[in-house]
Amino acid sequence: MTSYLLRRMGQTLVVLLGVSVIVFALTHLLPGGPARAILGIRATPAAIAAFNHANGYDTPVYLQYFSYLSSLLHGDLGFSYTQNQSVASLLAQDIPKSAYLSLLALVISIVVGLPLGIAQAVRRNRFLDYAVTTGAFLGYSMPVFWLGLLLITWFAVDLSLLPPEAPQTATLAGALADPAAMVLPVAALAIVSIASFSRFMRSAAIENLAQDYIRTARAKGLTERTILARHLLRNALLPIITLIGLSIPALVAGNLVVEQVFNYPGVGLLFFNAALRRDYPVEIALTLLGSALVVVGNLVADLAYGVADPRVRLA
Amino acid sequence: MRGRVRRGAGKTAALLLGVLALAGACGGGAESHPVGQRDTVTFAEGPGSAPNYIFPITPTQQFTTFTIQQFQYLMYRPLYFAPKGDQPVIDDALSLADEPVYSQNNTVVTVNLKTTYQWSDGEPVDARDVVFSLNLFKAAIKESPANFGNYSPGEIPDNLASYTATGKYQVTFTLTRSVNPEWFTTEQLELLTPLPLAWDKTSATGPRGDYDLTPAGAKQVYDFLAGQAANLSTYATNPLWQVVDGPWRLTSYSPTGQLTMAANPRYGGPYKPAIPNFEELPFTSEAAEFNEVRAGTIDIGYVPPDDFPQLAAIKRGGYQVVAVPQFFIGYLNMNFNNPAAGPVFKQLYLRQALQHLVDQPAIIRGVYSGYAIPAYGPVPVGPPNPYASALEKRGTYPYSLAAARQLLASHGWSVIPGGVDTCLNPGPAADQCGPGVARGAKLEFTIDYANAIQPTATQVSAMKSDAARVGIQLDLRGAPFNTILAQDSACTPGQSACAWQMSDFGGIQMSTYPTGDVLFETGGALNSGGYSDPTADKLIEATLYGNDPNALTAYEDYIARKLPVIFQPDPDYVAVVKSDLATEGTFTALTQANLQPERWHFTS
Amino acid sequence: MNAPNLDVLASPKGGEVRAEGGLGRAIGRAFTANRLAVLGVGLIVVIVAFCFLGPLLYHTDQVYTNLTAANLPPSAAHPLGTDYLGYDELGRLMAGGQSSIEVGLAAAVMASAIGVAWGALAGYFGGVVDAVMMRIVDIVLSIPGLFILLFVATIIPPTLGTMIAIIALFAWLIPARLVRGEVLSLRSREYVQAVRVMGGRGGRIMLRHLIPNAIGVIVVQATFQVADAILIFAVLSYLGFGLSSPAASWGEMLSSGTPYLYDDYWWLIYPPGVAILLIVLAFNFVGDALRDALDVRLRQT
Repeated sequence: MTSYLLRRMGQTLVVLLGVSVIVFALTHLLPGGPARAILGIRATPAAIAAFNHANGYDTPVYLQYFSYLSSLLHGDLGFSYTQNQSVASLLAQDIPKSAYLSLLALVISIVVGLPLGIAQAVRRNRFLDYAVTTGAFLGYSMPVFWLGLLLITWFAVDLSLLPPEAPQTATLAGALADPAAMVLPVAALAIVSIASFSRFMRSAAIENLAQDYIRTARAKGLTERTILARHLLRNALLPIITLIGLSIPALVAGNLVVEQVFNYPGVGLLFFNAALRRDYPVEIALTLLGSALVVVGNLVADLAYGVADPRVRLA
Repeated sequence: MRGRVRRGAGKTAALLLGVLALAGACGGGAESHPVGQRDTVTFAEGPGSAPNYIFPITPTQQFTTFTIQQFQYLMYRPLYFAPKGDQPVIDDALSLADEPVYSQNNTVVTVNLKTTYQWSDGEPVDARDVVFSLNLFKAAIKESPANFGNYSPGEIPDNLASYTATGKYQVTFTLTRSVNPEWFTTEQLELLTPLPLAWDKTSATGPRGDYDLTPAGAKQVYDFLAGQAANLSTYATNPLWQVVDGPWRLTSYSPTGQLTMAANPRYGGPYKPAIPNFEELPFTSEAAEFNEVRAGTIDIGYVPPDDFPQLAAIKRGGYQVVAVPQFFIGYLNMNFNNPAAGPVFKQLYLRQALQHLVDQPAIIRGVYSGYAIPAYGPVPVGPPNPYASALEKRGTYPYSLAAARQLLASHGWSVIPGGVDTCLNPGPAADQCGPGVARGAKLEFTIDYANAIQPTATQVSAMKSDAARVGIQLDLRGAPFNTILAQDSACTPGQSACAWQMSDFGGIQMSTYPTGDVLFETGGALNSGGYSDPTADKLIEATLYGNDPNALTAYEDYIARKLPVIFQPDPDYVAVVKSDLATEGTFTALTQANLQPERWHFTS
Repeated sequence: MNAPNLDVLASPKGGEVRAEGGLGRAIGRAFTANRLAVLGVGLIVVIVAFCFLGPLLYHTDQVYTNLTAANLPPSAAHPLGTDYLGYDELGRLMAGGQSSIEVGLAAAVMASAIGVAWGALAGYFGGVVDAVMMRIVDIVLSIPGLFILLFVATIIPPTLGTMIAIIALFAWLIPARLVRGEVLSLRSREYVQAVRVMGGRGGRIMLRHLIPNAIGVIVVQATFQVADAILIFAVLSYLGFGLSSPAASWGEMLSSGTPYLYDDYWWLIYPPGVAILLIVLAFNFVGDALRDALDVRLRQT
């Protein structure tokens, strides 16, 4: 177990190092550079040269990379020129909001999606299964931005029931204070997730139901209800863990599309705006952060899997 | 001239629920307001453009109207204030100094400060403050030319041989050469914002002194202040920034751009705040802002061009609508140094043909719902201003497919509607394609345009369609605004950066005196197309350094005829104001980013 | 991109697979028995016909704008109205469908080709080569997809070709992993060992044995990837990083219709959205059915 952990950590580091090389190369090897986009059209050549010098863009790329890496190791994520703020402070501002949105959606998706999947597995090939399957297919074939637009059209424009956009607030407290405005963004995210969660749970449960111990339990004459409660639900723990692990990136990095559609000032929108403005320090930092979360999320899921299911050996 | 790029299509803002203090406008009394009356007026910032630099010596990347006019000016008044309402001229009443006096063949300028202004720490706003600010200005740009947004090499402060306090309230500038007074006042002196001596420090805890009097000391002071300004979260708490001479001081500030200001009781100018508090709200997009307008939760906001069709509904929702053309030129840029297209762009007849292909009436109707005016030259015709010439108002090359076709046909091109014209008759004569254009050259150009700005997208699409009818093929490539900006840069023919042919990022917000030194002069910072014409250069020089009052007219008429860029309509800025809000003067000032909440009051 | 991609997890674990006569027919039976699959194929045929044959019957001008006819509601002349540039929305739907389908198919094919080659090489060589190659897959796979796509799209000017390349560039990883897994299990088989001992060349072994064995997995994966690529293309276009006018795409149509939500220009919002939904749905149906069919094959052995 320890050696497994060490090896996984080592791999994680390699992966993150690789990501940083890729992202850094992307921003720095391509022509143009950020100076003009950041300084604006009125920037004189002298101003551009001064900007490049001040930010080290006139040194060889590998030197820039090493200096970036070293400041990264010192906890410095960089500085956003256009926003006149450190990337760390931008993240501190937006991560809680993104996490709030994603967490709400995740909880709803699990609470709704998993029971749906189990119900489908139990009533396989009956009406419920077909109905939910159809819904699930629709859900995960649906472009989430279009779903968002439809929700806005129906519930904000036509019915005037809910605000058309997420809370426009700088702080998490502001978002918490305006639950009505969270309904549509959370719904858009959750609908899509419920679709894939239920689908996932359905196949996991079907596999489970076919397992020997369930057959044994049946043979022992246990009622279906007991079997469901005792075996299936316990085994449903694994998919839940997996899903949570896989959702960790979204928890922090936000959901770019939903945040864009509903103008929710989270990490996703931060990245989107940075991409529009070529705010490279923000783009690099967020991409790295996102990758780190993916890696950590996978690791957490695998570890938890190993703990929860003794049959899975981590070696 | 100095310009600011319009970021996104619109800009301005909305006010949150606020409430009124005293019905009439009158000074100071921020303390006693009957309970239940609104004491805050709120204003929406432009989309994704929160003010994020408080120190008036503002670096290039933060130099936007949102940061300067709609934030800093409220606290730190410039020496000369412009615009005047919605007019692009100096507002003498709001300036810290009387009109400057020019002498010795316009090489010496004497500025007399008004004695009524004082800093909120009780010190007067005087000549020493002007000298202090210039010392820091010089130190800043010496460190990096990018440290001041509107600095142009050779212009202020480089063109000052000396500046001295010749009296407590008098500064005398000696210039390196004779200038056009109109230009010097509106484009050079307007850049100066006196700074309080309370800022003459090199550390937060250290004593204040006359550090700025030596270049090394000035650099230390500048570095200290710029460092403080990089710390956004302390904007409202740092005692430095609380020393103001404007009508407002900052009371809270979030780095996202949400901020509140309170009246400065020591403000010495006209129009003391009637509503004691002012709040600005940030928005991530135009849509987000307009949602608030639609919901009626904003006192003052704006309407993006996409939503002009909804103005009637907005009026019914309790808003007054104020629409005035921006002091703005929209244009399509051509790269005269592109190896393939450059030689063709250098032909005047081709540029004339292209200008004939801009269907301004249809764009004004279709894109802007009528809220725009035609533009045929480098000086906007609206808002009403003393600069636009008769020729510009009349228009030079109006929409005409026939005229475009005729120009091409008479210069040796095969005109193939729907196809691509080729040069059949190369050569420099009047009926030939022109010097540098080879036989078989094609009229096929790529336009890179900012696709997030729907009016821009629509205009280039319409132009593509019209151009095809005379055999000019325009290939469109949309990209985010800043991507367009990044590649739209001056270059020499051999460079890879010269691959762009035509580019449309919207246009340029003109500053007060609309001459062409940076736009069309050879090597000008905004002259990204590389236009170079000795006559134009001479005419521009005359507007800066000559004595002829007609210099500007000569310049603009020449440019309007020569078309270094293809001009596009000038859209209105549409502001919306809650019906129960009134102002001294008119709200049309809002259309020119001229934000003066001290003049507002609630009527109910 | 919408949610974690769970297809990989939900797909059956590969067991012992053996080539077998009549297999094609078995798969075919299982496939056609699945009504959703038939529906999916039918939908694809209809949509492809609509997009590629439709313009032959229904002529519209998708090049010349007409601002005087902008944002018209549906009428006899324009069954689905017009957009903000005056383009006929029905005709635009066809044109937009062409680019969406082209991008989807080309990106999936390209991603599968790269993935198969990469996975096969890694699996075949094993050892350090395998470790390095698969670590590269890990690295690229851990970058949040939409982030890196936006990143690249801001740098490279979007054309049909670059869109395909960009999307494929980040879609070949899953096929690479799957194929590598197949190769690894194959490598240990006796007959492959035997061929090797007899001096057979690597390339031959791969071609003769690996591809037929892995083809099912690859095809299933590729089918899902068409759906994914169409969705990603739509998202990129919607966010403003797609093709430029007059080139049409469904995502861009939605994006340009968004400002008019409040004007109730429903014809700008529903048709392109429904179109994306249907085509993605169709490919998901087919992919799912193929997977089940493959599952049948797995169970039969």
